[in-house]
Amino acid sequence: MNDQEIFQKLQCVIRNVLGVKLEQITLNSILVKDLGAESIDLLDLSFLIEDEFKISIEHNEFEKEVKTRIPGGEFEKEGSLTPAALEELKKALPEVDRSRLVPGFRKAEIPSLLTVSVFVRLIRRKLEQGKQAS
Amino acid sequence: MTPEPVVVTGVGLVNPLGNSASEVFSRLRRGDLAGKRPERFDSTGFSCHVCAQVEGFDPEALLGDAKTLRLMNHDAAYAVAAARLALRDANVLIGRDYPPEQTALYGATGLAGIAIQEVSPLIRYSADDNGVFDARIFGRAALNKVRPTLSFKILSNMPICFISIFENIQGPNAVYNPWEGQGSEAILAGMRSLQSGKAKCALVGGCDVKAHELAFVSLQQQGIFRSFETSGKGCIPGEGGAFLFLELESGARARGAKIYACLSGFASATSLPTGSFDTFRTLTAKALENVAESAVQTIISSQDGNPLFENLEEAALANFPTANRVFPKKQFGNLFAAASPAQLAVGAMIVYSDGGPALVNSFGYGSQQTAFLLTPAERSTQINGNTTNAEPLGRTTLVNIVQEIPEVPEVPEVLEVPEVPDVPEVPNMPRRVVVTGLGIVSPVGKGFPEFWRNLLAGRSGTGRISLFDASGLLVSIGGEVKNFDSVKIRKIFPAAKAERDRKILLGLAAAGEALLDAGLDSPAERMKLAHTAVHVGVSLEVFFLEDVTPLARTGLEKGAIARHLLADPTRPSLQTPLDRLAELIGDYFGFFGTRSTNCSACAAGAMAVGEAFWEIRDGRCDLALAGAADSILNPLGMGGFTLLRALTMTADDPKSACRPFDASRDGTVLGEGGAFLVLESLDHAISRRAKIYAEVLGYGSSLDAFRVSDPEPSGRGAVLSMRNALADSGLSPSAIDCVNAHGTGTPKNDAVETHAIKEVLGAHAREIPVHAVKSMTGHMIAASGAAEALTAALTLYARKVPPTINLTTPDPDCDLDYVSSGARPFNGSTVLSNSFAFGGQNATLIFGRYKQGDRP
Repeated sequence: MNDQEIFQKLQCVIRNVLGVKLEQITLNSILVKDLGAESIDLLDLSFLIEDEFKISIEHNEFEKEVKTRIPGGEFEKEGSLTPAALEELKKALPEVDRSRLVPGFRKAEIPSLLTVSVFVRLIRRKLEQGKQAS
Repeated sequence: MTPEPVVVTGVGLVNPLGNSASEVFSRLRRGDLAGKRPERFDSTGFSCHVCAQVEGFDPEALLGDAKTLRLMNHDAAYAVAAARLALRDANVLIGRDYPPEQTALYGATGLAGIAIQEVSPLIRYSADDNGVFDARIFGRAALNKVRPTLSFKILSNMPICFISIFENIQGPNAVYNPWEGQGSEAILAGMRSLQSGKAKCALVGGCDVKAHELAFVSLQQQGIFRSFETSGKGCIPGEGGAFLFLELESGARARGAKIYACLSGFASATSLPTGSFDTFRTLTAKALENVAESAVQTIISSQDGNPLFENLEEAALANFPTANRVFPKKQFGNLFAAASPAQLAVGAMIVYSDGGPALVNSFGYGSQQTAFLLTPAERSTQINGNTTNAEPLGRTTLVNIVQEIPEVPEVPEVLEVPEVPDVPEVPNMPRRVVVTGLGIVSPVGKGFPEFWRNLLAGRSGTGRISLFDASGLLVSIGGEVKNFDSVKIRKIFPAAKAERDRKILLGLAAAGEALLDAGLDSPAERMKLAHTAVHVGVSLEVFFLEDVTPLARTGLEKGAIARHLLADPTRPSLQTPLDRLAELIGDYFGFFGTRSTNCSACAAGAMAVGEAFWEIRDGRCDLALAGAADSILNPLGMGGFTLLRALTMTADDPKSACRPFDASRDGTVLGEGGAFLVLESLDHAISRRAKIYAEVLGYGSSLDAFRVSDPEPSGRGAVLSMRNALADSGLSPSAIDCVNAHGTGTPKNDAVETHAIKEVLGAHAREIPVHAVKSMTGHMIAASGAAEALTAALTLYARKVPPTINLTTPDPDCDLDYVSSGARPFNGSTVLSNSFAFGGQNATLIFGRYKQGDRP
């Protein structure tokens, strides 16, 4: 499945969950800010993506990814991400608004960053991993 | 002083006889019957073979918003649609015609009625090869096969929360559950909110779904279908939503509203479990006040086909030989939690079209029974904002004319209307209400002395779950009540000997302790207390998966669940109705006053205490047992909350996992327990020389009207709840000496609550202690508000503030004095306690140190 096919399938899932029009959903759409997703919607979306693409998305997927990139390093300090963790998060999520990834950023804010393109890339990676495993 | 009349100005029905009030009304008049063989399932094997289904219902056409609709169970969709129709019928937009903050919303919901296909993955993938339920398999295999949105379909308060979101209603509120009497409770609560000035208008009603296979299983197991076995006759289970828009008559007239009827009289009481002739007769008589029986033109009968109710009601109505009878339940089915508002809506339409007073009976399953009197409002024509009245009917209407148009000649006659001796005298000065008994079982101690010692010592009650094997779940820690002797509780309360629902046993233990502490444990003392009210808070039903997992092997095709569960009639019920605890307490201790079951999730306990306080203060009773119990420390309960990601997953050290106001907080920890308070009027307490812990000074509630899963970010709802409680108490913000916070340890709640406290108390917020009991108990859900009310009473009585533990890293967004370095002495005289629920319901209680003479 190429990125365009993934995007088209994803568009339908997002439309069904968020009740928005297909043409409103672009690769750059931020789910929370642009498409009105609430915390429960992101959970539901994640569930339906797993179901649609037969992949498994972990809870706190991106937090875990960053943590594996800074082995032994500190992820959080006093409730905010450490500078090292922020740098790795920028690499893990190159699609998101970097101006928000500044000191004082909290892990609970990660979902509010997510764009449609983040999910396209995540789905592609999971599908590839699945292929390799089988 | 007679309160201003409350009038019905809008009715909304989604019903087996039609999806609008006018359609239902015309089909009722035509004599249509909605009962038939169910299409959704096979009713062979049940004692009842018919049901009444809602048909052709299209909520999206009415409400738009597909995104929110997908979170809703059928009952919620019925409720939201009926509410929208009632507002539309009243020609009201909240925000345009009435302020959202002064609009009340009271509703009733029924037994959780979830469709089998939605829960089937939980049944299919939770069992071992022999069909035996295994919590580890459930955690690993079943949970990730259900949509996280399922939780919202099971939580009993959600239908009403959805209404608040759709209609932007933010004022006083509560949700009750599950039978007909609780629907009446919602109507009465809405009416009182208008008469007490807490709200300017109120949306009241209920919703239920009984035309489904699982609902049929529950009704069969609850004995509702028994009459079919003995007499071949019985109720037709229905489904739908029914809401009414209520206003003060002056408000309705000012905006030129169509007035269906005045809600002129009512009476409600708790009967014996089977209903009783005396109760029915007394209620119909009391509801009439001073309207003569012969003046009643129509009786909206409560008969639903069950011969028992038929016989009792007929005997009670012997004095109404000339009134027309209408039998809505026989036509559109028994709507249970929505029955009472549906009856009242039908009554209002009949009064409007036929012009005569109507008696509306709402006698049903469950012990609360109610009768209402509706009288016609004089038809008016708007002329330049003035109202011209035709010949008035009914006493309350006349009184209102006195207020509005003094020159109307009927005035002298009105003044001669004699006082009805049966109506309780409303005292000029509000009565003082005090706390005279405490009982609690909690993760940090059983019995309030142990609870209090451990709270002051800062001991956490959370740890690894031992009640079942939680290793397959994402979260395996919680606050359990340790060494709880359920055998002993079952012995003390024989009616609970087969009870499987843990929260009921926890609640009975706490209720027993509170009455013992208040010196009311002996039958001789209790004999004096027949009119004691019982207000119980609970959250959601336990659903025993182990009962149905044997079907994982044999399949869940139509009728399989029913055949399996009903094969053995002695099998305990799959669902325990939420009012079971109130019934057990009331019947055992002989309390036959109000019996209210509040299912407002995490605010339920605080609301139960608040509503009991109002009942005593208003002079409706002298003594109440109020509190809550909860335990969702079972696979389905914990699994549901992990699906919602509301719980912390950092569990290396369970004792420090719940971290309210700490910068590293990342979710709450579930707790369990029961907590009850004995509340009584000060005079009553003094007359029996009761020990007084504290005085209840104020109660308020509000709705976020924002989202079901997130708190409103500005803390609007929390602010309004605290301000409503302050206004109720008559205290200024600077008179608050301590805040017992909701403080759950979720990232959003604690920051929003801190912000809201500062908004309400201003600079004073920084000068007083703010503490979070949940740092030690975990989140006891419905019971938390009651446990925290009890803590507030003890804070005042023992003059000490318990600490907030696990607060080691300050959060710049949480910058108050959270008592993080251990308990401290307290000489203040007031404590404000917050409880905020999933779905956006908020409740605040204010307690004061009891002093003789003046209030603090």
